[in-house]
Amino acid sequence: MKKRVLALMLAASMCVSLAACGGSSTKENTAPETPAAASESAAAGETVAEGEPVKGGTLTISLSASPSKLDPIHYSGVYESQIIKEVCDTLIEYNSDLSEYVPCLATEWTASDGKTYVFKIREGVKFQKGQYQDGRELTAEDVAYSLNRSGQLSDSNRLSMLEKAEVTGDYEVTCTLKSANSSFLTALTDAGNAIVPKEEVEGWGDEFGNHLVGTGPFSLETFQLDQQAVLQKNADYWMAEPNIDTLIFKIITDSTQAVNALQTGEIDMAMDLKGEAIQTVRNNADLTLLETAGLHVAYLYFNMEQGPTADINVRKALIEAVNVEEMVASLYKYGEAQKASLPLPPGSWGYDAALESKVPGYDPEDAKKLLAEAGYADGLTLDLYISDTEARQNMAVLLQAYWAQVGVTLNIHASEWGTFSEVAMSNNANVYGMSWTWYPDPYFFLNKLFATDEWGGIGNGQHYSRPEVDELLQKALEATDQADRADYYKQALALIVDDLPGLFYANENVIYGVNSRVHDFIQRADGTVKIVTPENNVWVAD
Amino acid sequence: MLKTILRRILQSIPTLFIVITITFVLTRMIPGNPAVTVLGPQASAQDIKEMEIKLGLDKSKPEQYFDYMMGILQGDFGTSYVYNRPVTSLIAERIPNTLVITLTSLAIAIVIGVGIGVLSALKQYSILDYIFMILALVGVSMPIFWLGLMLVNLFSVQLGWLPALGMGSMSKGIGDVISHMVLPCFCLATIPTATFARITRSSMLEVIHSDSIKALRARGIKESSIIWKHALKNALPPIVTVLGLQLASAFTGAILTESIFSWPGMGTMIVSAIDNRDYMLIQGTVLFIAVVFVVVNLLVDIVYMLINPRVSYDSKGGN
Amino acid sequence: MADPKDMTAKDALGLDAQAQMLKKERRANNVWNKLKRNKTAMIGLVIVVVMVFIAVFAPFLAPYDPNEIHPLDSFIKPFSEGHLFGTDQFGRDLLSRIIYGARISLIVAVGGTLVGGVIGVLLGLIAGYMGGIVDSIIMRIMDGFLAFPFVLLSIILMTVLGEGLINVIIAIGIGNIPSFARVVRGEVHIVKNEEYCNACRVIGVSNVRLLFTHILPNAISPIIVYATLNVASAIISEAALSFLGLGIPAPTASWGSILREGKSSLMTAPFVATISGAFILITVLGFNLFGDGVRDVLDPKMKQ
Repeated sequence: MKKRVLALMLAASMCVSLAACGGSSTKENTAPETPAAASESAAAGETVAEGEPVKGGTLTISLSASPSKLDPIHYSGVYESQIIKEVCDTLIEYNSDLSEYVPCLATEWTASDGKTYVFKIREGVKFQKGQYQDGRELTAEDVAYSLNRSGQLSDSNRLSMLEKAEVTGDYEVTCTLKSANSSFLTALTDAGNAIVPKEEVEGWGDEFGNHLVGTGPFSLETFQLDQQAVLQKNADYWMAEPNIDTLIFKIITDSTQAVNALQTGEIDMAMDLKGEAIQTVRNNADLTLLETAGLHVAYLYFNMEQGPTADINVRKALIEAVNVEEMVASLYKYGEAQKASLPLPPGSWGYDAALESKVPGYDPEDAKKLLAEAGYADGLTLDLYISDTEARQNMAVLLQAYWAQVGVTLNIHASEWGTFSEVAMSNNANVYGMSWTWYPDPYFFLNKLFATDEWGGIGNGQHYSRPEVDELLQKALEATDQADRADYYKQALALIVDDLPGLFYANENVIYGVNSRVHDFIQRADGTVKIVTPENNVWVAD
Repeated sequence: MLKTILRRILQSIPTLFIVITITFVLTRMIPGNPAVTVLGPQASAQDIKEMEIKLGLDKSKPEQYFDYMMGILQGDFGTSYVYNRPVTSLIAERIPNTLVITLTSLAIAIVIGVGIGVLSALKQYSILDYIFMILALVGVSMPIFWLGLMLVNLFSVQLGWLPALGMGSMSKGIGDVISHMVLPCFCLATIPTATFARITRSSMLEVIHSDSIKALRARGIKESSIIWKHALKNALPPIVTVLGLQLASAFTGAILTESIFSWPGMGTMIVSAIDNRDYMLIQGTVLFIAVVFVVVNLLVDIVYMLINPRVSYDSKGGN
Repeated sequence: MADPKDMTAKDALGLDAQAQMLKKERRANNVWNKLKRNKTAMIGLVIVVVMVFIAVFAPFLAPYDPNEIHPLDSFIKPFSEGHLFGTDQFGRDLLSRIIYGARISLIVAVGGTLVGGVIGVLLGLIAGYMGGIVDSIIMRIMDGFLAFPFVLLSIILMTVLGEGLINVIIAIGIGNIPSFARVVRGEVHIVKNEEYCNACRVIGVSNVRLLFTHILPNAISPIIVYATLNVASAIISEAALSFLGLGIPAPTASWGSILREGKSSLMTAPFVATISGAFILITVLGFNLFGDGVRDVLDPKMKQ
C-alpha cells in the first residue's frame, strides 16, 4: 500500500544524481512567487482536451527515480507503481480527484460487517498475451490468487489485513479480513494488489517483474534498468482502446535535467519538478506547468521519549522560535508548497481547519521565556537528523538560524536515506526532518505516524504514544461509515496537535511540466499518472 | 618473462582476497539497514524483520562472510537486494556502457594528447608550445565535475547543440548515440589528454636530443620519418605506463562523469548501490573493478616488457 | 674494546654526516635559487601563498559572516554594491563564503595529505627496510587499497564515517596511504644498500634510528614532491566528495559544497557554481605548478 511516499527521500535513496544543467537563462531575479500565481496554476492540473482525439503516437514521461522491481508483491517505490498501474488493473480505483472509489476490475462490492467484502468481477476482461498464456479471460480465480499472494507474500505487507480471498461464484470473490479494517478498500487500489495471471507468475518465477503481464491499458515491451520502460498499447483494453500507441517512461533523476529534456522534446512530460526547474517551465511558452496540492506534509518531529524535547514546553518554545511563513517562502521560492499546520494534508478527509489555531505561532520572546523556565536559560544544544536532499538541507540551515536566536544550538546531521532511516527508527536523536505522503485516508497518516504499534518503523520513530489516541485510531479503523471515521480521526488529531509532537511546516504540490503535444491529461494529488481512466484518455498531437 | 607473468598472477590472488575482505568489512560498517532501503520509508518494524530474514541479514557477520566467500569460489556473486537479480547479470548489462565512454575518451586522449606532445616537443619554447603546455596544466588541474556542469550549461542549456544527459539509442540512428557521447567523453578525456601531452612532450624531448636520433639525422633520413617512426617509438615506454595508469583510473573518472550526465554505466550503478546499502551489488562491482585493475596493470607490464626489452620487470624497483 | 674496524667506520660515519650536512645546506640554497628561476613554479607559489593567506586571515578578510542568512536577499548578482561575488540562495555573501571555504578546502587537502603521508611514509619505510614477509603483507594490503578507484573508496569511507571535517580528512587520508607507501618503499630500496647504511648497521646503530636519521632524510625529496602534488588532488577530492553531498555538513562553506549548492541554481544564478569551481581550478593549478617546479629542481629524473 502506498503511492507517493517521501518522494524526495526516496529519490535520494534510489538514485544519486549530481548533475545539473540548466534551462533557458532567466534574466529576472527569483523573487518568491506570489501565492496568487501559485494557486492559479495549481487549479490548472489538467491539459486541454479540446479537439478530436488523435490516435497513435508516442508519449514519453520522465520518472524521477529508477524503478527496480515490477512484481507487485516486491515493488517499493512510487516510480514502480506508475508502470505497474499501466500494465495491470486493480479491483477498484480512486477517481481522479481521489474523492471516491470507482469500479475497475470489480464492478460492484458490498461490505457487510466490516470484515467481509464481496466483489463482483467484471466479465469479458482479457489478459495481455504473455509467454505462458495466450491472452485468456480474467477469472475470479485470478483475483483470489493475486489477493492471497499479496496477503501472504507482499514484502511491504500491503494486504496484511486479509485473512483469505475465496471464489464464491462464477464472477464473485469474497474477502475475509482478520479484523474489521476500513483501510482495506484503499489498500486494494494499490499497485501492490494488482491482479495478475497465475501462469505467468509461476512460469517466470523470480523474473516475473521483468515480464509483467496484467489486464491494463499497456503491455510491457522492454524494461531497461535505470534507462527506460517501453510500453505498447493493449488494443483490447476493456475500458477503452488507448489513444496512444507507445508509452515510454524514461528515468531522469535530476529535475533540472528533466526540464532540459522537456525543452528539447526528448520527453513530453516531466514529473516531480523542483526548484528552478519550475521557473524554467513557467518561462517557456511552449510548456505548461501542472500543479496540484499534494497529499504531502513536510515536518520536523521531536523525540517524545528522552532528552530536552520530551518536555512539552521545550517543544512549544522550539515551534514558537520559527517564523514558518518566512521559512516556507524562502524554501519554496517558486511557490511549490503551502504553509502547513497539521500532520494531515488539507486534501485528506480527516483534516480539521479548526485545529490550525491550536498550533503556537511565531513568538521568539515567549520561546526564550519557556526555555528559561524549562531550565535552559543558558542555552541548549540539539541534534537534528535529516536526509541529505536539498529540500531538507535548506530547511535545516534556516532552522539553525531561527533557533540560534532563542539560544538553541543546532547540530545538523545530513546523511543519505540509509543512514537517516536507521537513526530515525531507533529514535536516537532530538529532532528529525522528514516528509510523508500517502492516500487521502487519514489512516495512512495518523496511524503510521502516531500509533503506538508503529514504534520501530520510520513513521513513528519519535515514539509518540497516547492511549486515547490509539483508541480513537482503532475505532476509526473499525467503523465503516466514512463520516464516523472522519469524526474519530478529527478527535484523534485534536489530541495529537495538543501534544505538539512536531512542527508541520509545508504541504508540497505535485508539479509536472508538459509540452503542448499532450492532451486530455488529468493530474492527480497522489502523483499517479493515469493514461486511460473513465474520465480521460490521453492523446498526443504535434 | 613467463615466470614474471605467472608470479604477478599469483601475487594478485592475495590482493583480490584483501579487496573482498576490505569491501565486506566496509559495507557492513555503513550505517543503515538494507532491508529498510529495499522496503522504502513506510515499512513497519514487522516488514523490516521479515525482509532481513529474506536477505539473510539475520545471520551473523562471520557467517555472511563465509557464505559470500564460498559463493565466489563457486562463481556465485550473489543477488542484488534492490534489483532482485544476480549481480553478474547487472554488471554484464552495465559494463558495455561504461567501456564505450572510457575507451572512446582514452582513444581521443591518446591521439590528441600524443599529437600535442610531439608538436610541443618539436617546437620547444615556441608560443605554440607554451599555449599547449598551459592548456595541459589546466587540464590536469581540472575538477571534471565542474567542467561537466559548465559544458552542460553552455552546450545543452544555452546553445542547445547537444543533449544534456543519458545515453542515445541506436533506434534513433548513430547520430543520436554520438551526440549523447560528446559531452561525457570530452569531460572524461580532459585529464588523460593533458597527461598524455605532458608525458609525451618530456619523453620526446629526451629522445630527440639523444645520440641515436642525431645519428639518424646525420644519415640523412627524412625528418618526419625520424620523428614519427624512430623518436616516438623510443619515447613510447613512459607513454604506455601512463596509459596503464589512466586505464586503471578510468573508473574513478567514470563514477563522477556518469553521475553528471546520468550515464547508465557501472559508476552510477555503484553509487546507487552504496546509497541503497545493496551489499551484494557493492561487493560485486568493487571486486569486478579490482579484477580489471589488476589485469590492466599486468597487461601494461607485459606490453612494457615487449616494447622495451632492455628493461626487465624487476629493475623497475618499487615503482 | 675498540675494534679498529669499528673506529674507522665511526669516523667514516662522522665525516659522512658532516659532509652530508654541508651538502644539505648547499642543496637547500641551490634548490631555492633554481626554483626562483623557474617562472611557472613561482606563479604556482604565488597562487598557493595567496590562497593560504586568504585561508589564515579569513575572519579579517571576509566582509560578512559566511553563515548569516538573509532569505529575502537571495541571488544578488556579482559586482553588486556590498557583494562583490553576489549572494547565494539564502542571501549569504558569496565572497565571504568563498574566503571561509578556502580555509576548509585547504585544511582538508593539507590534513588529508598529512594523514596519508605520515601513515604511508611509515608503512613504506617499514616495508622497504624490513623486506621479506613484512614487506609482502604491507604491500599486498596497499595493492588491495590501490585496486579501489580512489573516489569509490572515499565515497564508501564517507558513507561509513558520516559527514564532518575530521571524517573527510580521514577518508581522503586513508585513500592517500598506499601511494605514499609505494613511493617511500621504492626510495628506501635504493637508499638502504648504500654504503653509509651498511656502515651504520655494522656499528650497531638501531634500526629505528637508522630509518629516521639516515634513510628517511634521503627519501625526503620525492616525498615533498609527491606531497605537494597530492595536495592538489586532495583539493579536488574534497570538492568531489562535497559535490556528491558527502563532505562538510551545512552550513559550513567549502568550495565543493558551494559548488554543489550552485549546481541546483545553475539557471538562475550560474555565478555561484562558476566562481566556486574557478577557485578550485586556480588553487589546484597553483599547487600543480609549484609541485612540478619543485620536482624539476629536486629530482629532474623523477617524472610521472
